[in-house]
Amino acid sequence: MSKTKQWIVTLSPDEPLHAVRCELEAVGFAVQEVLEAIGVVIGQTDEAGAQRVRDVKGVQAIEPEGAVDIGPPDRPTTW
Amino acid sequence: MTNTNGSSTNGRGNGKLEVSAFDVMLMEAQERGDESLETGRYIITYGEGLQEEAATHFKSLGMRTADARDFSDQAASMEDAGDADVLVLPEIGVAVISAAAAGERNAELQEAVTASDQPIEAYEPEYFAFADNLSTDYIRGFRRAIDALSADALLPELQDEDDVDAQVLGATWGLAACRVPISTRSGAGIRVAVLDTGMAVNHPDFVGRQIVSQSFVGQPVQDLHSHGTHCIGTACGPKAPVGTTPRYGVAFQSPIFVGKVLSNSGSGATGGILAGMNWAIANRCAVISMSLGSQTPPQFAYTAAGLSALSKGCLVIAAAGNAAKPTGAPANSPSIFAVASLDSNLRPSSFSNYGKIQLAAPGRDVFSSIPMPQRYGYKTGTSMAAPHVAGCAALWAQTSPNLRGQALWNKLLATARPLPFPASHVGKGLVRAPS
Repeated sequence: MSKTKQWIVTLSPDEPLHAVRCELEAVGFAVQEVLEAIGVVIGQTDEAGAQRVRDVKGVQAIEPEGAVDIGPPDRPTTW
Repeated sequence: MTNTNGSSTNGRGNGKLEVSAFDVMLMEAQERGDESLETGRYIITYGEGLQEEAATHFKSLGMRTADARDFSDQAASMEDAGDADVLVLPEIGVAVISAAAAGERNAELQEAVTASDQPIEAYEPEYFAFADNLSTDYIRGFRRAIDALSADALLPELQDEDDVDAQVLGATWGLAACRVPISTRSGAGIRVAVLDTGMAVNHPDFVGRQIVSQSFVGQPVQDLHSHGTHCIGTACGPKAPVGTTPRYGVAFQSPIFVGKVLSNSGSGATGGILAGMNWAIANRCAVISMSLGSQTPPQFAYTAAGLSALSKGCLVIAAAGNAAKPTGAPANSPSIFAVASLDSNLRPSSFSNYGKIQLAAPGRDVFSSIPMPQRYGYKTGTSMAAPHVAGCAALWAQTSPNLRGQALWNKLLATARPLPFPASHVGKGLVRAPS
């Protein structure tokens, strides 16, 4: 079984958010945060779970959470 | 004869650099330097139905004659006619006389035009013809080159004017370049969100300012890094800092929304950044400044967030990045306004990312606020350019309640100062504040 990790799920603005959230949970996606204003859900699952999320109606995309690093304060140029 | 194929390829299409008879004529004409555009060949027009007489006439002059009817589908040109002196084109009642034959027989042919017993109606030089698009493209290219050269030459002079502004009005080079000191706008009532490392909330330059803050990284909003405080200083710093400190902030009366999405070590995750965007949009911040990112392709969630922002009257402005590579995320999302960096000579900074760029703004050696006790400091990067645009966006938003979201995006582009550099590096040019 693959490792569980953090994912960013982008929802279609046409689908009711609550319904999609329930569907996500039903396919094993552990919802951590719902960002209503931008239609994004953050949560955890493994690779197989991410594949199931892709097939949920109202899901536009699922992307692994990425890291951002502008470096320490003394770096000559940051981002 | 093998060279005659050059007329159908003319060095185009097959990628080979063949020299056609046309090219040779052109070179010879250029060597003559008479600017007449004459090819050296002549065109004879003969009377309708008189081609046989014309052919007989050419033969009587001892000219070797080729007839288009001897070629497949009459697809003949002088280049195909080999060593013929004249090529008869019976369909249009015209004959082309080779340059050599024209030179030898010029007097006789001229005479034939006036002689009533000859079938020849006109005897005229052939001229070079150039496709319109070729010449206009050439002229356009030439014009662009001249524009770029003249703008380049004028740039130092314009820069000197801005320096005078800066000196007189006591502002940083960046604010002067964006014409902030002469703007009558303050950003009052326009919420500006800065998603970064937080803010030094005890900074004396921000005493009395309306500040709303939220952390998305599990640390207090207080900025122990300095990047966030510096960006907020540029976007929203005071109109008149204490003593001789130059003005470094643009929207000096904007309510400031501080979203801490990067930790005090400068790191964060897209989840927290998206949560910060969500918060800023939910709070209807007309301007959302993001001096952060990573060298990744466009992220779907950032694009969706940018679209949500625009649909709710908010504008997300992001720094393109400092890798001298294609614009990073989130600035590379089509719904997010990407900003490149300029040096103080108004040239693109060497480090500035390129590609998907909307505007450019001052990013090199930018003076702004940093946490106490240092209070002020210089930083460099597209991170410093983005808050210049964010501040100016707030000033523009103040000029009209209709300038929100996409309309504000368009206004920033329409009012930019064009720069003599590719759009991939500076977009529409240097951001400018309203007067």
